[in-house]
Amino acid sequence: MNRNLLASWVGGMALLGAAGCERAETPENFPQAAADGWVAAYNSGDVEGLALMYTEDSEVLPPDEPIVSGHAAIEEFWRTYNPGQVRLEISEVEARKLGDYWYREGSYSALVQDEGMPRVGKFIELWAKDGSAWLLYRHMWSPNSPPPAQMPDTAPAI
Amino acid sequence: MRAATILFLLMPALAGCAQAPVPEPFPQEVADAWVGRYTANDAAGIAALYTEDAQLLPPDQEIVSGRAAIQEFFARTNPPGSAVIEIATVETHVLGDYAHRQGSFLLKGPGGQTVRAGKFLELWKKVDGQWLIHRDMWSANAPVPAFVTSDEPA
Repeated sequence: MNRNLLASWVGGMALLGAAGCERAETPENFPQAAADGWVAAYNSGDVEGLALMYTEDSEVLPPDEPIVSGHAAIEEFWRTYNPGQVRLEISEVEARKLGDYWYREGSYSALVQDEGMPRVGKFIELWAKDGSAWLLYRHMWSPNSPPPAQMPDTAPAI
Repeated sequence: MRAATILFLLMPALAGCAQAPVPEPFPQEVADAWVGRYTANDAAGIAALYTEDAQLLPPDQEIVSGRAAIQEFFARTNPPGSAVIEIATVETHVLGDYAHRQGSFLLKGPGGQTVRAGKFLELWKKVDGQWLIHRDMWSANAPVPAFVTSDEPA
């Protein structure tokens, strides 16, 4: 290898290396289509479709219920929740890419059939990539006020 | 050009890509300090373990934003004589300057009986080299029983 060829090879390798590093830092966009798909499935009562939007090792952390783990249990959970009778909207969303995950937080407003006022609350999600698809890995939410029928609660709020 | 020179020229490129972030351990000592301060009913001490713009996302309540409001929250909900808390870390992921923790908690009454069990998700953030809680969301595993308060008619 002559000296000039060697020099350009070294330069080329250095450039390749730098380009590789820059590529890794290119900001990705939150998988909004997947999140929109979740809301669409929820509002149309598509429980099977909803369950497919969670990773195999996903966990749902619902208020006042134990953790729901895995596809089958999550599908059963949403079937019991009967999402077909709810109109859900998401707002005030903030998403952040953390390592191999997407972290997302926001507010929801859920208008349940036969209820005049929407249920309003907040949520936290972690999304993980499964092949080429972004799926929910952890999903937690809670309402901003107690259920209407509940007695006043003076117990610690935690 | 000698081999050593070539290696020297290539090093920045190789090192740049070799900087795959080495995952730091989760700051369990800070999480343990939270439990210690909660047990001591030290609301200011607890609040100091949150970022300035941290948020609590409590069940059946609005989001609590900022250190001052967080201190007020713990002063109100965890006065001396409150239930004892036990916390177990279930899962942690340290992701650069952020970390995720999932855990479970038990609240125990004076006789050691469990009065509430629940789960939580936390987002931690490293600020000026210090790990602090940035988001803190929890809920019970069963509906909270309706308590009859002392100021209600018997």
